[in-house]
Amino acid sequence: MSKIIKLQTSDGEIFDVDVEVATCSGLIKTMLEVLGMDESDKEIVSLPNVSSAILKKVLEWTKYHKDNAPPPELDEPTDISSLEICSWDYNFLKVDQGTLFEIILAANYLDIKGLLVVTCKTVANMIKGKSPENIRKTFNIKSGFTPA
Amino acid sequence: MGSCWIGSKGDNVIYVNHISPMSVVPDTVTTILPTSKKRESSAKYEEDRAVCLKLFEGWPEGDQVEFVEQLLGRMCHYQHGHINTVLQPMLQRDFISLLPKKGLDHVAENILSYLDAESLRSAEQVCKEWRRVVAEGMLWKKLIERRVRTDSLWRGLSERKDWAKHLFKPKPGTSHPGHTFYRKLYPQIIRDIE
Repeated sequence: MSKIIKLQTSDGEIFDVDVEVATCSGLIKTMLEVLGMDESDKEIVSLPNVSSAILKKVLEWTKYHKDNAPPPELDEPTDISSLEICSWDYNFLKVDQGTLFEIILAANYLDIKGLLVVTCKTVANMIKGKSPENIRKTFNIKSGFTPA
Repeated sequence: MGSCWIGSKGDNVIYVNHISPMSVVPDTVTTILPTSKKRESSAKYEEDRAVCLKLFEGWPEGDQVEFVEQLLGRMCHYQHGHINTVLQPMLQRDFISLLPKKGLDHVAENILSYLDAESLRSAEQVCKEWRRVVAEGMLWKKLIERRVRTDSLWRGLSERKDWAKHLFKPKPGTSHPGHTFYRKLYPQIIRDIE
């Protein structure tokens, strides 16, 4: 039977998460290594920077990629001149910009590289091929300026 | 959201006044005149709104969402259209300007580092903050480096034209030029290739 870890979000909700899923997060992995796996049974890991709504999304993503296609493990775009992301991720990230922003913050905070890569690519895809004015419209940016 | 409340309350007031002018309705309501209904009702509305908002704020998030869905279901198409124009900008985020404010310059740079030259040129014309991220992230240098790494034509040219020395890590004791150098270098390379 797989071990369970308790994660508490900023709004106080507690999630029982399979350790294998939770350790997709570099932050939680390090925490557990420092803490020792046995003690983690009783401890609740507090995640003050993540809300329950966003943690649900993050866990959905990590669960899918643990069982299915492994996520890309790339730090920086080396040979990725393409902005392709898999169709599951594409549909998963069809959310409003506010939610996407929160997922990026959570992926960075929890240190989930694969999720950070696909979310950054998703934003890059929203910019790609657009004129400056269309980019401003896409992200509701008021302050245009005349380039010097 | 508010107009739904004012609508139902307003109808109720008129109904009461028609039957018995000396009804139990509070003072503020009895002063409403049919001709200036809209102006007079705004004071009443503001009072009601304060009460509603206070109640609303006391509910858990899930209940708030359910309640607003109920409200929306009671509104008509032009109201939905208006709500939509209010809602849309609330859902938008200026990722590239907001991430550095959270100390996440590297994430903003990472996003822009996926762009091709044409899109990068657009990005730096969006606003001052975007231009700063492009410059400080040395994104033109990174773009050239990416092409040299992945394209043998670029790699060959970088050695022949002697700008390979400006890429990747500088040799000990030397330093690399600033952002503008690479910004100008890119179109030069394209011209050389053509």
